Amino acid sequence: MAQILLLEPDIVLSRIYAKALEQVGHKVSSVFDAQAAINVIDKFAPDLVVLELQLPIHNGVEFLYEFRSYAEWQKTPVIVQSFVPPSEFKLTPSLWRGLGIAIYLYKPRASLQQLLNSVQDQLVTITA
Amino acid sequence: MKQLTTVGIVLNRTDFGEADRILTMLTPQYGKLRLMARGVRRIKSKLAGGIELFSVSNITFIRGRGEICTLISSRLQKHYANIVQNLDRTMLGYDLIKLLHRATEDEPEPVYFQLLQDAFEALDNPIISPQLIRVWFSAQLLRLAGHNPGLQVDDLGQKLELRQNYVFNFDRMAFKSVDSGALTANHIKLLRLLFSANQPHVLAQVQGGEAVLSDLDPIVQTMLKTQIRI
Amino acid sequence: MHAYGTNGVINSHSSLLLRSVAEELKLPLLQIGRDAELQNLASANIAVDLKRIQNNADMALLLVDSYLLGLELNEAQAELTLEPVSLSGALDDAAHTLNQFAKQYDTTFELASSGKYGPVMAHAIGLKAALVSLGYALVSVPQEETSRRQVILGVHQSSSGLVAGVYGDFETLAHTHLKQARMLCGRARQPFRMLSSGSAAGVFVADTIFQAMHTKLNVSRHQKHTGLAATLQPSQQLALV
Repeated sequence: MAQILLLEPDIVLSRIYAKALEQVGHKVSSVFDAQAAINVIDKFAPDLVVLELQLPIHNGVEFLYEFRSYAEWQKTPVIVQSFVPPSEFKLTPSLWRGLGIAIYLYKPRASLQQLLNSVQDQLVTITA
Repeated sequence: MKQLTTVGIVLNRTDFGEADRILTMLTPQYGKLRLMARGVRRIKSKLAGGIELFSVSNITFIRGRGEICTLISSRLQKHYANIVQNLDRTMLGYDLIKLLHRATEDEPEPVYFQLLQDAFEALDNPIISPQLIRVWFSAQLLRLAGHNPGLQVDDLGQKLELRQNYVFNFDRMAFKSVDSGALTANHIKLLRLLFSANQPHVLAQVQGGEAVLSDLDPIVQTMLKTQIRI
Repeated sequence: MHAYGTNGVINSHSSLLLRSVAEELKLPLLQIGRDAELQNLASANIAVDLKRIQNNADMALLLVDSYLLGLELNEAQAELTLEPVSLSGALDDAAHTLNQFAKQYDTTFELASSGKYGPVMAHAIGLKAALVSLGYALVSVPQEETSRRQVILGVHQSSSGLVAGVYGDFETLAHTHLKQARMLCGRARQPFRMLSSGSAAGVFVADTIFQAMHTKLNVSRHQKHTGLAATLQPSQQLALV
């Protein structure tokens, strides 16, 4: 069971995702914007980050740019779960590699079960 | 030690120890500089990525014995704030920075700094489409590296004709005359503009460019992969 | 979402607004879908709030209706007849509608008026729809979860008329943000990033309705709060009485 940082700007969705993750035993820290996430990561030390790219003020790419600049967070798996459609990622093929995005889930089509499975897969990968 | 000043754009930044950072900056006078920014206290930092990304800064530094210089001061000269207003522009901007970083050696010429700055200016302008900026940028990287495609004559040395159809021959980096080819005079004209010294805001005014650009996009990306191998 | 093409083709305002509304609707539909799925998850011992699901569905429907109303009012703009409408009544109605929905965001809508005002010249349904759309856009601006937030539906007098709108802790909001947001509506994924992580469709729907009433949204200050508001003309009818 893991410590998961959930960066989701909508409070309602955030609570739903957090509950789904908690009911399988994970510990979740929910934040609503990129600055709050940066403030929390030292204290919370996440094993994995679930991230929406569309955030107020600073977007998810800016957060990842900052997050990956810290040596201890360079290998932490990041699952992007976003309203940005997959077709828009084709514009920037190196983005995934450069920012270390492990899995990309398109929110309108990704179920809670898919999120839980993706988190589990990533945690297994870390352990291995 | 003598303090040197220049302008720079951050290409990369990594944390170093508890309080320091190493920045890789692209400058017009000194090419790529690796700079140690000492004493930047991480826990208190505001999301500096929002400022460092897509900014031009005035910097003062001193050269060290090794390859890492010491940053004395940094003052923001221009921050292209509109880029981060849009996720697709942020993603593209980030990608262009990485592309240029990979495509250039440590001592890139001043034109590469100008290229990146021009790209930021274009991204900052909501009228100019991200696709146009990406294709233009890729074409400019090819041009600056000396990998221009043949835009006046075909692969057999024949002048390119207005009413002829073509395909693109990547081995020869030239058009090949084929009756059933999908590429026409409009494609050639736009490609000439993309590979010229014109900036994106000029290209954005070309009427009817969007459909042609979509055809040229994968061609230019393939040129980039095969010629510069990035 | 992609911006202009290189051929300079400009989408019409209504098609850009439709794109904005379509993007916005993903959120309530996702909330409803995932809420329902949560209850079905194995070993879930979670009580799903059916009232919340209902509120999200109702607000989404209101947004669609307000969008359609905005189109209709703009098409009829030349013949649109404005009538005296009770501003306090419209604000009160809007607050009542929004508060059902706002609870899940730990937010309450409060009315704040710096005086007693008579009716204004407006389209009655349009005015309420505009205020509700605006409130809907601003209610989900993220806040620290521990604080209960208040959003103000306020009205005050200005030299140009009565200014009515929605206000909150949006201190950094400036006119340039609104101006840029209008330009990016339907073209950028986050046209109004100061306020919203989404398409902020509610702002643009409200703007469309207000424009049909010959006014428009501006950044405004009310007491110590900043927000978005429109200036409405007081009805002269009662002044003659």
